[in-house]
Amino acid sequence: MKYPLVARIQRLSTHDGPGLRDVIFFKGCPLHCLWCHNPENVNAAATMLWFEERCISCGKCQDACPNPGHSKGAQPPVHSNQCTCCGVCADACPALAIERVGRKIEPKDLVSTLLKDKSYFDNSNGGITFSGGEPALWPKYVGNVAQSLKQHGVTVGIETAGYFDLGPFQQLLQPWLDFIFFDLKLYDAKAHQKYTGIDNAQILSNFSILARQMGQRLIPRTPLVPGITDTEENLRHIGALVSKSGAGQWQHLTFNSSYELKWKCMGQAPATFHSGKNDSVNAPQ
Amino acid sequence: MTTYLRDMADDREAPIVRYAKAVRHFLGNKRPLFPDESLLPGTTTSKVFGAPVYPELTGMLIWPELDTISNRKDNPQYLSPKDAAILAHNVFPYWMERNILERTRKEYHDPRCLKLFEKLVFFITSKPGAVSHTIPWYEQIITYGTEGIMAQAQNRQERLGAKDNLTAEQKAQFDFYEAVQIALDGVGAYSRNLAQQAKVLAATERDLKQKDNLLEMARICSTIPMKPATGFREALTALWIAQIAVHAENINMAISPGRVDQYLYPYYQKDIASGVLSRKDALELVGCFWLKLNDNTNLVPNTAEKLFGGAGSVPAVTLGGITPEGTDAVNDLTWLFLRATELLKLRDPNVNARYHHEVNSDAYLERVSEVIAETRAIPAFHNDVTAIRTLEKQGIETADARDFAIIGCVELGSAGRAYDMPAAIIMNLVAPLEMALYQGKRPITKDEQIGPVTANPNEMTSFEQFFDSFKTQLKFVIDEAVTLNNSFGRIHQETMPPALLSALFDGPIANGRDLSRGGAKYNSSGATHVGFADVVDSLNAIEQVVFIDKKFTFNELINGIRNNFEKEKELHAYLVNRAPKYGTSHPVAKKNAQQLISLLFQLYQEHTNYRGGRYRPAFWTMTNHSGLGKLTGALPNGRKAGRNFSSGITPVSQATVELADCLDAVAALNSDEIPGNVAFNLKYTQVKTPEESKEFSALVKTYFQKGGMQVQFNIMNYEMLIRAMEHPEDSMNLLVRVSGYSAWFNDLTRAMKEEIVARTAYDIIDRRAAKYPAEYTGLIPCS
Amino acid sequence: MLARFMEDIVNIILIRHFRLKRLATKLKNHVGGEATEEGLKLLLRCMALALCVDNEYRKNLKDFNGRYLFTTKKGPVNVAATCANNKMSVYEKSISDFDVRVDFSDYKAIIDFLIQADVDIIDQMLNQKLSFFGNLNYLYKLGYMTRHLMLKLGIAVS
Repeated sequence: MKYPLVARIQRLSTHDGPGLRDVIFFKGCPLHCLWCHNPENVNAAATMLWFEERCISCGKCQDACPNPGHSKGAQPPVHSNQCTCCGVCADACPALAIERVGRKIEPKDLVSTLLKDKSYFDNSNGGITFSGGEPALWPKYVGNVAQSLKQHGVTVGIETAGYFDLGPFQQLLQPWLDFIFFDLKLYDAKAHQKYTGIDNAQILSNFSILARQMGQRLIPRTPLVPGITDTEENLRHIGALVSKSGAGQWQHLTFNSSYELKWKCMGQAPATFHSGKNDSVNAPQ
Repeated sequence: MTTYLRDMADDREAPIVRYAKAVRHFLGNKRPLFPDESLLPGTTTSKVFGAPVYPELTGMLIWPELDTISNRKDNPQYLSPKDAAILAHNVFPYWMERNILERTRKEYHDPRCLKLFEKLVFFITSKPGAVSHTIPWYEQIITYGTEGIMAQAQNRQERLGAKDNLTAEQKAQFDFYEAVQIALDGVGAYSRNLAQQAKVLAATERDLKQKDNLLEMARICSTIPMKPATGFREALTALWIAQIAVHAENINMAISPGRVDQYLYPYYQKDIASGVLSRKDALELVGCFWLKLNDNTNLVPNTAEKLFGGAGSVPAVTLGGITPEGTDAVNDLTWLFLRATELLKLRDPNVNARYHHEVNSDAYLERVSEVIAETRAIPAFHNDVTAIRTLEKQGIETADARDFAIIGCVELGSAGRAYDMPAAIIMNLVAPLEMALYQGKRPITKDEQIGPVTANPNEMTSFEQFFDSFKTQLKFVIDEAVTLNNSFGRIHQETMPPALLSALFDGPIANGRDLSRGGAKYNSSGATHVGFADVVDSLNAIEQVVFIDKKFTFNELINGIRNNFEKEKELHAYLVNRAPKYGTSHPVAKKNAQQLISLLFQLYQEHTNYRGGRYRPAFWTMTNHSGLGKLTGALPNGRKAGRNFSSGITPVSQATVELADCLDAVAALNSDEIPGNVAFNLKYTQVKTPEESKEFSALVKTYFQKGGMQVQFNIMNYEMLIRAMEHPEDSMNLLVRVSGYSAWFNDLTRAMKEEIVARTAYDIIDRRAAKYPAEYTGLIPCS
Repeated sequence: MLARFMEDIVNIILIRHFRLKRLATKLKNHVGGEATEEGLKLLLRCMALALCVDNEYRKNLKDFNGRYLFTTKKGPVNVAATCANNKMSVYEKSISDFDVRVDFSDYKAIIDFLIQADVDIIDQMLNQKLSFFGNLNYLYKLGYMTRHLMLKLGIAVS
């Protein structure tokens, strides 16, 4: 079984399903959306983040780096494009200004960690939501964890962008899901390719099939990215698709600019968006 | 009072009788005032909103400020020049040799414990205020009336026989019963004066509604509280007059009405059933009562604002929970009191909601949550399960433990049966920590050798050695504080025994002993602590950084804190980020937190107080954590010099990012070892929608299921508080939760406002610490 | 009435009003300048004179016998004041048998005690600038008399 790396576990969230929920963010995503709020999770392998406001410029990261050739001169060393994400600098940093995102967790350990919050779930009709990245990339692992949780009486949900092989998903993961948050970002195939890096045919197909099977338990969601997804045309098309799919209530997700911070932590300039014009996005360099 | 005691008293009489006569004289001459259209008569002081002066207790603290108290910057209290002159020349001089503090000093010949107290930065005690911080058994006066209680006392007095044939012990009982009758007679006199005055005012009152109101109050006061109450309004009136009367004899600190929704309920139910009272009328009466409880505050010197900032007299009322039989105690009156709280949004009374997660309904839990969201601060939640169990372990019978109520801030006591004096000691935990670092000295007291000379940290080879030094210093300070409290207590027994308050308690009349002599059914003293989180985190830092990681030597650490980390940036960053923090799931932090709780419990419970009760540790801090933090240098947890300590049992501000970890860590502390209760301050950025309110409730329920004892909230984000801090004129009605009580934000010192701003605000959506505004980073203790 | 009239005459003869005014100026200058041991002596002398000339102020001495001693940790300020028979006497030496001994941490602490603008006695105790031995209530009384005097002389900022 292939193990995904876990980026983080967010406890007692209220934005990712009913009640209080623990959300597990996995690394690895087939899409590369320009507005991604968790850009460090796109890469399936470990990613390094640098938090500038915590840095005290002590240089311990430079000293610790096993590849001095690349780290010298790079400020911080993790933003050099020769960084191997080994994480030694993160251990050496006294200010916790460097984070190595992504660790391997045994399914049973993950389950027992999550079950510690069971009383919060029970008292609030909450549970677990898988997110990321794209959790559906790992149907065996995630399905294994989900099954275990269901046996303990915990409700399980997933947030997905919809781009995955349907077969393994239906076989290994879907039986243990109480709900699916299904992202529908862009209806137009060319626009979808341009802004997310992939075509949306598979996504739309998965959506229709799963909507018929799950009914109200599949909740379509559209992030409202100014000038890109929030156009009247895009929303009209998606709305039409949703209304004849049999899926649950369509949710719009408001856009907030907090995503910019993560990109900067990765040493990349974030895209900026303006409402109204379709081609107005300033793509990152 | 002074006039009576100085000019009219007979010094040959037993102190308890003499003092009871003074109380009767006071009450008989107390001005019967009706300052507004309240449905309840009388006032605590002669002013609409006043601070009573208790020169026999701590009133003399105000002497230097008599000319300037009206205009001082923080919390001015108006005193007319005429009254100032009376106090300066007529009242205070009488008490110079006689107040409790001075009597204790002379009796025990300037004891070391008193000298240590006078430094104010090791521990303080509210004992010079004599009896306070308690819950009378008001049910007694409502049910029997003063005449009924007087009859009980007279009965017992007669059973003793003639005074000449009695032993010393029996003579004391005789005097006690005498004093009880005298004092209660005074209550009757005041009430009759109120009736008389109401009639006079009614005669010239043109507003018909107010006229009727006055006439009704005149009718009630002619028999209440002398006779048993027959209805809800009479019961409430009896309660209020009793509260006024008790303040004639005792200082207005946390004299708490207790479980008002329980003992007033039979009267409410009766009147509603018979149609005499409507719910609307009842709400109106309850509202009047809430307002009346706000009619007085403490007379405090200027500096007290730093330690007890913004506090009123903190009378606590307690709602909900379970009955002595173990059933759901929530009733119609509970909902009514909650509604009044929600509508009025007042500082006092300190409203507390008991919640039993196995017996009380979800509807009750959610309703209380709604009120908290609406008022942004009140009430506080208390866990019935842990409170009852911890009291049982202190020897309280189960039925009595179930009948507990909150005293003052957060402290637990079986209502009307226990004299617990929970503010006997307020201990600065950082003091023994520093003394362990500096071998018995503290930077603030410079070269003076305060405690024993413990080992030199630079020569230590294990964390256990340091913890031993800390234990030694802690034990030293505790022993001094306990000795002093017991000394004050003994003097109090001899000088100002409270007959009136004792009469309104379950126990003294049956036992023939007043409260100060242990007459209550249960006795204890409470010791609360300042700086818990900072001390735990400092212990964590020393253990992890010096002895486990061996990243820095102890010498380097101590130099760092001496220099306030001026040059030691790497050390500081490491201490702030890499040392384990209480409020997270780090095993070292959990171990040290629990170890300190257990240690304090063990050290205190070895001691008995002068009334035969045990000492109970607690963790609430009012604003001492701010006042004392300002005076203290840097600490091993990375806190910089002059920054606020953390409040109550709350983890250090901005040190715990995950709300779930924070709740788990606080809930994990063994409540059986915290019989005095805790104040746990949580801040949420908002609770607006019904979903958010439900999630809010779920968090409280789970936290209690996990063993948390108490939690109180500020529902406000950083921006809102910063705006209020910079523009006080725009936020006149902002009520905040401090550390066990509520205060108007504008009343607080700047330092205390900053402390509240800096408290970690958890975002309602993702349950993590919300982003803190960078421009105000200097307010964070460890930044 | 007659007694007061006689007193006023005595005051005029002994030019106490004038002396008080001069001392008050000296005290004012001292408070605004560098802190030395003079501050306390000036205050007490002013106080003693004011108690002579001001009937209202003298009420503080009614039936009051109090003995005060002052020291500082920094230097040799041994100043004492005794109140008896409606009079205050000031000495530049140590006395035994005092009701309260006030220990200032340094000369600046004395200035703070005099001015007591935002700093009061308890605050000074909290900051370890002032400690005492003896009856605290006597110190409070002195604090009141000091502040009252400084306000009257127009020196205190409050």
